[in-house]
Amino acid sequence: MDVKSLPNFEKELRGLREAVGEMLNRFRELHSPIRESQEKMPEASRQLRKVTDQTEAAATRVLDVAETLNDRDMTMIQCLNEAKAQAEKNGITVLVKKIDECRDLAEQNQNDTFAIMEALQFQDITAQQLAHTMDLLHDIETRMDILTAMMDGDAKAKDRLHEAENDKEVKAYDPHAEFSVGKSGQADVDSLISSLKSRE
Amino acid sequence: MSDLKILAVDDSPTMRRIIVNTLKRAGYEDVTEASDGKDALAKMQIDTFNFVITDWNMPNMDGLTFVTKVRSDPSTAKLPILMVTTRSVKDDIVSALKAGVNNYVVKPFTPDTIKEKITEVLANI
Repeated sequence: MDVKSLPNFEKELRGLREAVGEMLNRFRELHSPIRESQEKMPEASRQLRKVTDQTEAAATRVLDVAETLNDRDMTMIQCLNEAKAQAEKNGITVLVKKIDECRDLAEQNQNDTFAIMEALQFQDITAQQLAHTMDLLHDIETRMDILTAMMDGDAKAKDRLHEAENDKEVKAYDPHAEFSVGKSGQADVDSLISSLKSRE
Repeated sequence: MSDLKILAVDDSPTMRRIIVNTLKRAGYEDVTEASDGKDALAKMQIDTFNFVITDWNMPNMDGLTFVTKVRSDPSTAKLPILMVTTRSVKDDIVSALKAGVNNYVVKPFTPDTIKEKITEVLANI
């Protein structure tokens, strides 16, 4: 190296040292907010789990009532059938007609009760969506733990990052679960199955 | 009233109740519940069923693995199986058919759909 360029070299080196020092300060500044966010993750997961538990409890309660209504309707329909038989036996046609009207109403009630049960399937679907969200939060939490460990100089933290990225654990939820699929979804499935079976 | 003996497999207690009620409405009274594939296989060891309705995403043993195991056992290889799941993408449906399900229903389902699919499966075996 040329002696004349030494002052410039020293200046460059000083500048580089200042830049590295500034980067380290920035890292240290990040450390604290990351730690705070890490501490909030478990609480976020707990709240989501509460939502799942409470919607399941509410769905169970609605199902209890729906089943009671359905049982009562079935009893009512049976009573009306017996009453109709008696009315027919005694030739009371006006009464037979009225009984038929009442039975139609009871059957409509039954259909509506099952419509309620159909709607309650939301609980299974939202539970899967929440399970997916909790899984994502857990993934973020793991990566933040690894990040802070790396910033603290943990040499094995990078290996844990690779493990987290390669985690192939089978999930007990459908990440694409949606309530809106329903009837149109079933028609598409039926069409696909028909076309697959016709190719066999 | 049908004499079909059905095993209904789903990890959601709410879904199992809905399926049981739906089956009763369709005339199928004899229904046993299982909470996942492992529980279902255990119940199949102690009782004989002639129809299975199973979910896909379950802990311990998922529906696809359960169906594969049922089909690999000569004593249950021909057991009619209906998959009832939220999964609706083509690849999933193809995988389920390859594993051996007889038919496929997406959630949320109507009682009429379940009744129709059970009838279809029984007619084709």
